[in-house]
Amino acid sequence: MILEHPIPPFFEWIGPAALNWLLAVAALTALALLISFIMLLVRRGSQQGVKAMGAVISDAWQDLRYFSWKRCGAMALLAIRESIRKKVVVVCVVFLVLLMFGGWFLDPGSKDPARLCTSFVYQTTTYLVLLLALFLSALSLPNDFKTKTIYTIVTKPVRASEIILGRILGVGAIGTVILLMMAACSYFFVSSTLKHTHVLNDNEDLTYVTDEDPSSLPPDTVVAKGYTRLANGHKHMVEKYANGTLRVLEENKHTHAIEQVTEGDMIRYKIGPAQGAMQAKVPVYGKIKFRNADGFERERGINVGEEWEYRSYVAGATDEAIIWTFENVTPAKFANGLPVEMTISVFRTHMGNIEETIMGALYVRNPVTGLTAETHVFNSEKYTTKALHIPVEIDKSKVKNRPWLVKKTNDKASFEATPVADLPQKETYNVFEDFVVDGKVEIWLQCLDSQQYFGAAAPDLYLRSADANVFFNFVKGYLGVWQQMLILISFGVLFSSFLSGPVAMVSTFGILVAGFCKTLFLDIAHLQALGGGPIESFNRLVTHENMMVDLPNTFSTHLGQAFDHIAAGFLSIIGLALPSFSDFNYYADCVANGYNIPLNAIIVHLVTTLSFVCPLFVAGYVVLRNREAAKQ
Amino acid sequence: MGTEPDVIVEKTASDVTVEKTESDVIVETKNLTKTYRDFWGRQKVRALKALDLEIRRGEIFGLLGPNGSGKTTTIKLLLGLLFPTSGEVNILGRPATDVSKNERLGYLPEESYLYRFLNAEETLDFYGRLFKIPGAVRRQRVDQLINMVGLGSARKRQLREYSKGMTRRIGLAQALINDPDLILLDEPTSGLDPIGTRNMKDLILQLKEKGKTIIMSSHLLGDVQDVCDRVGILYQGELKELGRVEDLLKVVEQTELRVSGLSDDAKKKIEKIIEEDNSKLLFCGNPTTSLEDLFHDIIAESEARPGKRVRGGENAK
Repeated sequence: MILEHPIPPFFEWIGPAALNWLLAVAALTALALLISFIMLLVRRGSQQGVKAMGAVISDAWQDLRYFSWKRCGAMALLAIRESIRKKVVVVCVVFLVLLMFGGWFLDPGSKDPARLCTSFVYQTTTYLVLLLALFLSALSLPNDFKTKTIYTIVTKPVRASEIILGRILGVGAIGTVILLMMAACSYFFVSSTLKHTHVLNDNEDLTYVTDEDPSSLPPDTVVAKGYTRLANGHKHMVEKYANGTLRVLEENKHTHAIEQVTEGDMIRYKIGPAQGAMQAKVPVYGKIKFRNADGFERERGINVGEEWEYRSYVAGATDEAIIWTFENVTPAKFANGLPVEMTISVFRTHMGNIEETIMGALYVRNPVTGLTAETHVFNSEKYTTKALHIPVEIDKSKVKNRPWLVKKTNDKASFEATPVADLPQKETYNVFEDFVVDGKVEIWLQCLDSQQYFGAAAPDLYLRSADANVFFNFVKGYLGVWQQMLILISFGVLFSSFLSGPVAMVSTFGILVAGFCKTLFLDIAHLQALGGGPIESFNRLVTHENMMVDLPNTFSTHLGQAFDHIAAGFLSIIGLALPSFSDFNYYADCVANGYNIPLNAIIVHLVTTLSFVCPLFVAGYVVLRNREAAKQ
Repeated sequence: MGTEPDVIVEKTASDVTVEKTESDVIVETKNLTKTYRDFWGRQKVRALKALDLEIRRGEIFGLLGPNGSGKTTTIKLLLGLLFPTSGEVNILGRPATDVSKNERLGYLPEESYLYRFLNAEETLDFYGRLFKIPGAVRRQRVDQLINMVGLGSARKRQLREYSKGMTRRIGLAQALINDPDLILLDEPTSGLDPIGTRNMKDLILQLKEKGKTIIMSSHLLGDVQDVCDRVGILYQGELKELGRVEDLLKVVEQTELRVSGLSDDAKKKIEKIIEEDNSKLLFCGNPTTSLEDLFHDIIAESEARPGKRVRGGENAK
C-alpha cells in the first residue's frame, strides 16, 4: 500500500500538530474578532461597539458556565426526530438499490475482487453519507428561521451553544446510524460477492504428469496438475502430490481448501469457500535507508528519472542495497519466524527477455555484529506483493561471513568491520539469538541482475504480524467516512447559523470539494500551481494562453499578478481552516488493500476531527448568539 | 457546568408566585428604540421610538395598535428575539438578552411556530426538556396541559394535521409548560373561533387569578377591553396612550343609565329632571348586547336544548 505521508506515532505528532492548530485558531479568531469589531464600530459607533464587544465576551462566559447537556440532548433528539420524519431512511434504500445493481458492473474476474468490491462500497457510502450530512446540517437551522420555529426555541432557556452542539450531535447521530446500517449491508454485499467455490473432477480436470508409483516418490512431488472449473470469472490451478494431498494455488488473491473424498471406486474433490480474499494484515513497518556501492549510508537511493519520487532505487549486481531496520522484534510477536511481505518496484534499463523476471535477494542481518544470512533468492515482478518467510532456525549454509557494515559518514576512518572470526560458528543460527539485538533487526534487499534496478519506499516491505479480525477491520474502515461526516456536519451547522439554507448548502459543498482538493487549493494559495493564481489563470483562459508560456510583459498582466498575490494571502488563511478530506481515504485504502487499520491512525484522525469540530462549534455559537432570531 | 441562577420563588396558599428578590416591576423599558436596517446598514424603518414602559406583577397589560404600529416589535424586543438599536429592556430583573430570564417566561407567538413533524405530546415533551423538567413531572404536566387545551383526542397526531385553532391551542400549552410567571401573548385570539376566543380570554383571566403577569398584543379592541387591566396604545412606533382600561374608556362628561322595567311615566319624569338640570338627553332606549355575547347565548341555549331553536322576534309566530 502506498503511504506517501505515513501517519507518525501519536506522541510524536501531537506536539507540533497542536502548535500549528493553536496558531491557525489564533489567526482565524483574531481575524474574526477584527472584522466583527469593525462592523460593530461602523454600525453602532465606538462607545456602543466596545460595549457590545464586551457583552459578547461576558455572555460567552455565562453560556459556558450554564451549558446544559440535557437541553443539548433535547436539541439533538429533535434533530434526530426531524431527520427520521423527513424520511432520511430513503438514503439507505438508494444505497441498497446501488448495491443490487452495482454488482452487475463489477468485474467478477478482477485480479483483486476484494479490493474492487470494498472500494465500491466505501466510495458509494462516502458519497451518500456526505451528501446526506450536507443536506441535513445545512438546511435544518435555516428552516427553523424560515418557519420561525426558532422563536419558540430561543424564548426558552436554551443557549446558542446548546442549539449548535445539539444540531451537530443530532445530525451526527442519525448519520452514524445510517452509516452503521450501510456498513452492515456492505459487509454482506462484499462477502456474498466474494463467496464462491469451484468444481474439480478427477478424470476430466487433473492431468497426471508422471507414470511412476506415487508411493515411490518423495511425498511433496507433484504427480498431477489441472484447473478447477470456472467460477466468479476465474479458475485455480490445482496440484496433487505424491502423498495424495492436494493444493489449490492462489488466484485473484485467494485460495480454497480442498479435500479428497472417496466413495467406493469414485474419487471426488470437495473444494471449500474462498480463503484469504479479505484480510486484515497487521504490518510492522521499519525505517528505510539505502547503501550505495561504496558502502555509505544514504537516505535516498538512485533517482531513475521518474517524476514521482516516492520510491528510491538501487542498482543490480552491485553492493547497493535497500535496508529496513525493524524494532521491537520479539519471539512473542513472531514465534514462527519473520514473515516478510514486500511490493518492490522494478526498473529495467533494458528489456532483456520480457518473459523473465528480475532476480533479487533478501538478507536478514544483525545490526551490531553484521552477521548476515541470505534467506531468499527470488524473482520479482513489478508491483506484485511477494510473501517470504524467514524461519526461526537458519542453516549455516545461508549465513554469509560478510560483515556488511554501513558507514555512517564519508570518513573512511569510521568504517569499522566486525572481524569474521568473532562471528559465532554454528550449525544452525537462531533469528532471535543471532540476528536480533535489543529487538532490532535489519532486512536487506538487493537486485541481482546487472543494469536493472529495485526501487522501494519504507512501507513497501514489512513484517506481517498476526492478522486482525476482518469484520472488525471492515467496520473500522467506516471510521474514515464517519470522521469526514462529522467535520462536514460542523461546517454545515456553522454556515447554517448565518446563511440561508441554499447558500449554506452551497458553501458547505464548496468546503467539501476544496477539502478533497486541498493540495491543489494550497498550490493555488501559494502561487505554485501551473498557470498562476486565480486572475492569471482566468487571463490565460480568456486569451487561450498555454499554462507553460510566460504572459506578455504588460501592465494588465502585472496588475493581475498583484491581485493574485493579495488573493493568495486570503486563500492561505482559508487553507488553514480547510480539512483535508482525502486524508481520511486512508481507512478505505487500508481495508481495500487488506491491511488492519492501526489504533494510532484512528487516534490521530480522531484528534484531527475534533480539532475541526471544536472551533467550528465555537464559531457557530458566537454567530448564533449574536444574531437576531427575528426579522422585521 | 454551573448551577443556573434559578429564581427564588415561594408558593403561597393561593399558589401565587412571589419573588423575594425583585421589585413589583416585572418589565421595564427605557427609551427603547428599534430601527430596521437593510444589508448595507441603511435605515429602512424606525419601528419603535423611545418607548418607556413599566409593567407590574400580576397585571394583564395590553399592547394595542393598528398593523405596523410596533406591537410585535416590542414583544420581540422584550423576548430578546430582536436587539434594541438603543435603550434598555429589563425583564424579571434581567436584560432581555439574558437567556436565564426565559426560565420564568412563556411566549405564544402570533402564529404557532411549532415543529409540524412532532405530535402534541412530543411537542410539549420537547419544550419541557428545554426547561430541564424531570421526566415524571414533565409527563404529568404534558397530560395536564393537553387536557386543559382540549387536545386529548389528538395528542398522537402530528401538528401538520392540526387545524389552525388546534395549533393555537397547542401553542398556548407550550407557552405554559414551565408554569411561567410572565406570559407574553402575541395576538392570542388570532385564528380562533368565537368559542376558542372566549376560552382563551377565560384562560387569561384564570392565569391572572393565579398571580401571573400577562402581556398581550392585539388589534382586536374587544378582546383587550375584556381582559386587560392596563393598555398601551402604539401608533407608528410611538406610545400614544397608557393607562387603566376603565379609566381610558370612561366618558366623564356622559352618564349612562341602565334600568329594567321602567314605565313610560317614569321615563318622562327622568327626562324632566334632566331638563331641569340643564343637561341634554342623548339617548334613552334599550341597551344592546354585543354580537359576541349573543352568539354565546345562542350556543349555550342550543347546547342546553338541542333541536330547532325558536325565539321571540318579528319572525315568531
